[in-house]
Amino acid sequence: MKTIYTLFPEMLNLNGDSANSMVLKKNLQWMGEPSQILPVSNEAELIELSRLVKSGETGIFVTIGHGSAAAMQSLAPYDEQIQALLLQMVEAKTPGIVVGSALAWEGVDVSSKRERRSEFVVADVDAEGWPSEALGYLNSDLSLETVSVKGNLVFTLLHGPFLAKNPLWLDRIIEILGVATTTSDSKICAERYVKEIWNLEANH
Amino acid sequence: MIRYWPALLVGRIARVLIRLIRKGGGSALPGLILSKLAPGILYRVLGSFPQGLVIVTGSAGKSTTTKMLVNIVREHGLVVFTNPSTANILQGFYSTIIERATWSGKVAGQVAILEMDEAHAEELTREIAPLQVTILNVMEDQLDRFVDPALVRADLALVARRATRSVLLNADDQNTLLIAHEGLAVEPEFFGISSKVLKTQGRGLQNAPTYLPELPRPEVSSEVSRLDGINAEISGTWGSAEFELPSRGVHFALDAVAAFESAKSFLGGDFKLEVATKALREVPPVFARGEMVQINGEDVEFILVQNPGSMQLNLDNLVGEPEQLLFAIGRDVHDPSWLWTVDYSNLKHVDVCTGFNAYEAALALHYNDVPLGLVTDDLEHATKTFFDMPKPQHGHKTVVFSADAMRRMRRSLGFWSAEEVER
Repeated sequence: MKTIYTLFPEMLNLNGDSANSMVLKKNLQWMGEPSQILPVSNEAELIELSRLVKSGETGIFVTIGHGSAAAMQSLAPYDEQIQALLLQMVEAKTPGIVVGSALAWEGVDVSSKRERRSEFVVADVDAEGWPSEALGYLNSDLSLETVSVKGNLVFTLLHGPFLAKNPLWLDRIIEILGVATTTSDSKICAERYVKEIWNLEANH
Repeated sequence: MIRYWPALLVGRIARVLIRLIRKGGGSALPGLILSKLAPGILYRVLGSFPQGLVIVTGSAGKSTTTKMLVNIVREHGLVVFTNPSTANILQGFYSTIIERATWSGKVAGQVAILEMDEAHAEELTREIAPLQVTILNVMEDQLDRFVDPALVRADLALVARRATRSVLLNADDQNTLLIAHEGLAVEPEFFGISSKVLKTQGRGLQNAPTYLPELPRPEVSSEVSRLDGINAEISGTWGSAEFELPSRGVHFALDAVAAFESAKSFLGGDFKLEVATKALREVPPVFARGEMVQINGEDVEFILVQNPGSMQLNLDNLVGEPEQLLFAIGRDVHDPSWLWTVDYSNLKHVDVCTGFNAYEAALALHYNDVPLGLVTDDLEHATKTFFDMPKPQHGHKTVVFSADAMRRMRRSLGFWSAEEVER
């Protein structure tokens, strides 16, 4: 059983980032691999997740999405715990995705400003063992790399269902989770839509 | 004001030329031209109404509320200048002036009642103080543009602070309650939905969460006290009124009570309950807000979705299981990421998925287990395929679309006039 943890799934979902958990679960399901999504929404759940990561638990994935300024402010009491969790995940090579304002827990100033770049991008990525491109919607004024990887933790400014639109990244994560990727009608169908999205947005 | 005629002439020529080239289109560019040639005309026009400027703004419900408010005020005998629902940004106001102004730059009317985009309302009210402002809500809306709901709330607070006589606020949105504490120049009045009615709405009003300690609900002047399908009752210390909403859904009930309270505040002692009730009963749906039209001799329901909140509320309010449904997400949805925040469990299937963002929509629906028929970004082909389908055995065809897909589809269906296309 693979377990996909989503940190504060309601609060850190302003642009649909929690969908990354759902997309991973669906793909595992299409491959016949049992999985579950568990929310991490309080201190005790954060402590338990941290314990699992520290103990080197395999077969887990963590989604930490982008939240509104209000959501981030309200989560301030958990700052230290989440910062520590990210460090542990990098060290333990636990796979996960950290999006937008969640980069604040990586020490980035992500305060909301209206003047920003707001468009679809195909980002070049320089991370060994990972795909060299990623497509998604960028709505940020930060001069960071659009997508970077530390350990097996993907840090990205690309909003929304990153894994749905980047099947190569999804396959890499599934591989890290120790599942042999297989195809299915549902997966083929999803990839057909993704191909059209890439055709549209990469040439936009 | 005579100096405005050359700019109006250029704008009108541009409008005619564009409409010759593109039937049913062409209000944006002429407005842009006029705004460059005669930027001051907008403030002169909006400042010229003897009974002032009334603004309706917020994330959702502006068009329906404005239409209801205008209907009530007109029914009381006043001449009202208003704007089409898609012309709620500065450029759109210039376009409306091209259509309505005399050559000397005057527009008839005793009062201007306008729906305004949140950011454009802030920009416009820097130059001209509104008499009255109604703020409906703050939702997670157009984040590619607004970035964060807190920034929208800040804009709306500025608009409210510039009102000279009245501010009407939604008592059931924590964001508008925060605005009420922003040092307004006038004491705000409140409208809302009774807790009894709200309890029956699974997902509430879809306002943006503030994640702050909950502010107590203020005393309301009017609230929706009963809602059963399209049958609504609003009440207050003044009594109660019963009427049918133009469409089902708590969001339309909120629009109605906002319009009612806004009219009551604007008209003051001249407000007549029976006249207002009659006007509310006679408001037809705003184009595509639950509008029922006849196409090829059969009923078709048009449902406009503009953000996660309106998508969720409209899907939750679908009647039964639509036998035939077209889902179109157009170019206006710049960042389709929000499609993944919606719960599609009430959408049992989609016959045709189309629009500029057809594949984005299809991907979200596919992952949400919604069975899909035809998926194509060719809107004309999709429209033809859908309307060539035999009449459903039960109910009617249903079209759920975003604003851009709506405009393009309406044109392809032969709704040529600017009013039909744009509203």
